Amino acid sequence: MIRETEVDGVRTLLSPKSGPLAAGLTFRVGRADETLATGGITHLLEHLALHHRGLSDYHYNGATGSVVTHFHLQGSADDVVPYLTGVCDALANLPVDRLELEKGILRTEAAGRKVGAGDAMPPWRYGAQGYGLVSYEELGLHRLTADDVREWAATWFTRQNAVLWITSDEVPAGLRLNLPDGTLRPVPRPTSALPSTPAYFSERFNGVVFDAVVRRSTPATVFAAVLEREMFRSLRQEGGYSYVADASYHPRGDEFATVTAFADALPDKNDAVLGGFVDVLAKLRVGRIEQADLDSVRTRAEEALRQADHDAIRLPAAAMNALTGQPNPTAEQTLDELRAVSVDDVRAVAAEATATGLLLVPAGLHAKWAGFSPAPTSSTAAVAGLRYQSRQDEEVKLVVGDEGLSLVDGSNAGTVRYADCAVVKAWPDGARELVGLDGISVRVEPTLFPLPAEQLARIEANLPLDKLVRMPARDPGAIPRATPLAPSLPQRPQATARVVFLTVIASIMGVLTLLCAGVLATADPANNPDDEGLHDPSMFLLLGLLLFGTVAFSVWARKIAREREGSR
Amino acid sequence: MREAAQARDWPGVEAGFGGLTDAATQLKAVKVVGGLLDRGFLEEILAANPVSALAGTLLAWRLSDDGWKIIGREWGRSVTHTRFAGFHDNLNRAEQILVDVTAREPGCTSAWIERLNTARGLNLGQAEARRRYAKIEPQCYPAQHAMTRQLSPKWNGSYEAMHTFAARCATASPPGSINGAVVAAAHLEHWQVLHRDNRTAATAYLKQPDVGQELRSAAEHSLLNPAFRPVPGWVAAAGTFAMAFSLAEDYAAAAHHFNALLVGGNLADEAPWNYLGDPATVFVDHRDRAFGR
Repeated sequence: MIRETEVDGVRTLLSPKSGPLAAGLTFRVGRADETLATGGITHLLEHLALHHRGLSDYHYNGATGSVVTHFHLQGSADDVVPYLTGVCDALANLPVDRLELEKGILRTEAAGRKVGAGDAMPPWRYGAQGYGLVSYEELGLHRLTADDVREWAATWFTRQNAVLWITSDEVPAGLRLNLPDGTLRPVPRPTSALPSTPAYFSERFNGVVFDAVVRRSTPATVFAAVLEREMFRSLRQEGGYSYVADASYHPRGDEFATVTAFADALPDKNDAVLGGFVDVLAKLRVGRIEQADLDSVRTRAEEALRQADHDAIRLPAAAMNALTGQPNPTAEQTLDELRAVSVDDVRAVAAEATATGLLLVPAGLHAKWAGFSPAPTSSTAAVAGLRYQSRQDEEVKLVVGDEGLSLVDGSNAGTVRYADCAVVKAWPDGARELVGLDGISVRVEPTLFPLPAEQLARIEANLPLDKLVRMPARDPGAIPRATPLAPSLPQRPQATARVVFLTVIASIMGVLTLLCAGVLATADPANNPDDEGLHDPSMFLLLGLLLFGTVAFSVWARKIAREREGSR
Repeated sequence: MREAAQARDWPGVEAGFGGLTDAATQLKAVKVVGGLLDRGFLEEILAANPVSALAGTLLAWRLSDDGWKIIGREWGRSVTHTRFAGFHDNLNRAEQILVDVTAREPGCTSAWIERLNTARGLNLGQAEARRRYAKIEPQCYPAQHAMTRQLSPKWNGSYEAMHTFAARCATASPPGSINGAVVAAAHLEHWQVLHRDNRTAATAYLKQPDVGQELRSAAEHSLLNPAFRPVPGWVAAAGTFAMAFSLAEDYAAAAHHFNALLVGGNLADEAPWNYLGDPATVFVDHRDRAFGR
């Protein structure tokens, strides 16, 4: 049973448990609320709010998630008061003198962070914004100022936007939460970088990762567990293709949850794991769900729900539900829902998961055969503007337009419009990288493109300054150097010579065509319909051929002339 | 069943299939009925019976067959981009229908064999093909034949993997069964790959003494074994031996198999003769040569 009360205007959830006390203050803010250019600001604030704790006898920590940030501790009732008071005081009066130092610590933390199998998915689904940001580097650390973090604290770390939870019957005496007033913030609306689902993308990876967005529900939690059992049986026990085969269910913060599944593979078994996974998903989608799996999943979930400390253990999740406006059912209610889950309910979730699915397939494979469409890796169009050919690859051209930049490689274009730009990374050596909200990026390497100074200045003037992140100097070895293309220089005079040659041929043919037409015309077909010349089919054939030749050579010459213009 | 198909009598077709228990017969029936029914009719039937494994398998077979017809007997770079796209579209659709069929009925052998063919055409990979093959009961000759083609270098396999697989199929099969013909099928695949670039080298390959010995041993273990009884699929198996011996210019050995087909009731299957052109013409040409006419 979870009891609700209030401490200094902060919603408070209480539920006792045995053993040491746990408590936390959870705010409705996370990485999904940031932008790519301010990425890491919540995490930075979390560190600043905790730094003064120093060494203590109790265990404490902070955690920045996608839509919530927790400050929590485990200790005695006496530890709760100083810890939480300290966090609130630090938020009110941020130790901004430590800003640079904490940024350094965060960068070290990021460098050591393990990348999980599911981390590749959010940018492909959501782009470089909102829920997609969790997988991006904390780029804001390069540009955030003391004012930025103060403003962030005042906006998000307020008493209305917080929930306190304690694994106890009562609030410890003397606990005050000195937080500024604000408003409860709604969760961000999900964005989409996928024109259609189910979709797939490929990456150098041994195994498959699948994620799907399904409505939050008890049947959906059962689906994730049944999926895991089916994957384990089919991919590991029967096929022996995978070692790891698991699936998980995570509420997103709104009415939806993400189901993520992952199976690893030996390099020469990647195709079989992909095929096996597609079949596992199909089996559940058509409703061939093993009753034994359903029963076993239900039993395990019931056991967890019947645990004495169950309510206390789920306090952090309950705090997130309270902050995001999601229901907090009692254990009894959840048990009832669990018992009511039918094979058909799980089948319906499987169908929903397939329809919204995003699949990571190993490089060299695809999933079109299974009905998944490729997720976009390029933009639909390039911006209009001047084109500069790369010094390294004649197929690659940088397009500098008024509304943005494009990098064109053959028939593919990556475009970032200034208006839809999520971040601009600027290196001291002059390189710039624009990342669009859709996750597509364009990098301008001045060493690779023959950009005149005034063009560079024009690009610089157009860049959105509020998205500009000044990156530290690159290692000189990391700056690309153009290896000149041997055939690219003499190409232009050659092209000119060909245009001249083709034009001459076209002209000669044109003259011959006129002569031929003249011969036919002098026969005067109107008055001499019986003239022999008019009955000779070879004359008409010749006229046709000459006319065709003239047109063909003119078109050819024009085409080459245009290409020559384009490559300038 | 042929009559039922021609009359577009779906309950009749279903009833006909209901009486077939053998995988090879079922597959043969899928080919015959799938060829007689038009695509539009099969689409309607599947839409009306979305969970019918038979309707799904027949439509998928039809889509797949139409797809293979787009590229014909050509392969590799000689096939244009547009034709490949049409081929892939057909096979993708067929595969997606078959994914559902096998998800509902994991024991549907003809659907799994068809999935071996889509896996090959769509280049889904050797491990994936082996995964599919493992879903089919052992000693299923049409599945072994499909797997042999998959393992050929023509479809990114290797000669070694293909011949090893074929030899295993033969040794694992009881004397007098038709599975030994897989050895002949593998040599024909090998011949076909060589034949594209160099016809003489292809013939020389089949004329090698050890290849001839392998063909004869396989034939003695299977179709020429005293324990042999005609089972579904034996006509295609006999044709495979006949074609291999005929291309190896061992007409006497080829005549044994042509004769068996003649005695059996003047029988012939399209496979493997459709490898070389119009099956009827090719069959008669080779038989005449074997009979010394």
